Amino acid sequence: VGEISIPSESLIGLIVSVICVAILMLLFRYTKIGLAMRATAEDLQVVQSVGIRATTVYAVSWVIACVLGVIGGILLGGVSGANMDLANIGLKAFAVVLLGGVNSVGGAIVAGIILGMLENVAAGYLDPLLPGGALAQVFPFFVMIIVLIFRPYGLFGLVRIERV
Amino acid sequence: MALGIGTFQENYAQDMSIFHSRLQWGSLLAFLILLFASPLFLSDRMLTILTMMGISVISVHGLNILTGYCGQISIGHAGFMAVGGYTSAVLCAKLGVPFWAALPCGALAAGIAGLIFGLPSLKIKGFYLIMATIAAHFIIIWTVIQLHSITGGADGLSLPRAKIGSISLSTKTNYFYLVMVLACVATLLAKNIVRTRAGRAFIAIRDNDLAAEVMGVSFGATSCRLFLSVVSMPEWPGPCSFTTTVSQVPTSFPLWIQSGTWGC
Repeated sequence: VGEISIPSESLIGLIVSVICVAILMLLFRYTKIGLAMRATAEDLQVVQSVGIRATTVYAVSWVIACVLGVIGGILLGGVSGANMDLANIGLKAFAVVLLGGVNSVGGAIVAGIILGMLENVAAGYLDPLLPGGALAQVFPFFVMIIVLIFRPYGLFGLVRIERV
Repeated sequence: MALGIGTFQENYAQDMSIFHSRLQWGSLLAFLILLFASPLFLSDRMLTILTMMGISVISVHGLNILTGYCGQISIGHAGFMAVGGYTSAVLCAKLGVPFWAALPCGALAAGIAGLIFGLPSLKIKGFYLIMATIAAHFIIIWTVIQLHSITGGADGLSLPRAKIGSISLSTKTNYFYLVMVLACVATLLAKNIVRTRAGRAFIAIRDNDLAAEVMGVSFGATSCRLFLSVVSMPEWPGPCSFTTTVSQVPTSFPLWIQSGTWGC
């Protein structure tokens, strides 16, 4: 058993993201605003009729989303340097969200780990077989299509889905 | 077309007509004459701009029917455009198919691609459909780069000058005329598609899919037909654009191509 060296940026990133996810899970489980957000996602009309301000809920959810995005961006910039390619991570995040289930914080963690591993395994084993390579760039999107066809609500999402 | 003051529709033919008054017919004619005469007095630069506008018009018609009339949001349209563009480009450059034959082939290929990626849309809608089309975009562009021996990969594909019969389309004026004729045909087609039985089915599905289904509009069949017909239409500009740029490069179909193209 040897030693592993972890760069301080990655360690900070890991700790901060764990804290963020923990706060988010607590927020959705226990606080008033978190519950209001879940209710709004469920049924807008019911929420309005019980006296919750849907506009405030939307505003707060945008704020949370942007702040979390910024935190992610800062951490990512620390790890891989800040450049325009950081935007691609945001698009891949959709695949993670869908695999984990759209309204499941825990699912996002599991799906994030699964997709991150899948992506690198696919790149490692399949890239040499392909002429152009760069499978890691699009692999999350293949997963996304498969998830959408067979299990649109993801691994841990609510099964109720807008279906036709 | 809006009815002018004092114009009344007295029979069914009048009710179904697109233009209701002489003024409307007159302004259409004046516009068309001005459009088709413009190469006589406009500079090459202005012609290029007008040509790009025509290409955008064709492309937007497809997106308009898909998103505006049927309420199915497609973010992957640039990908479908790439399918159309590359199919006809490869047919022209590698197989020596004449330009006029490669054009509908490209449209058909894009239609089939739209159908393939539209199949999940039978089960999903809204947010999930948007995700599926985003995935379609990235997968298509990636596939284009992968098929290096056929499409030239990221370096693009250099093409012979397009021509129809003995008329070369490489001059700006001839190319302008081709695009404008196609744009006019596409506009007429789009206008009439939304007036047919299928078009009314699209609108019914957009407004309330459950009610449409109850009234006998089959969502599956309709949206299949929709993806095939609609997605194949905007692919005309795909082949169109390659003759202006002479080479076909994957980056000429960015994800942002359709931003700001959702009309009503």
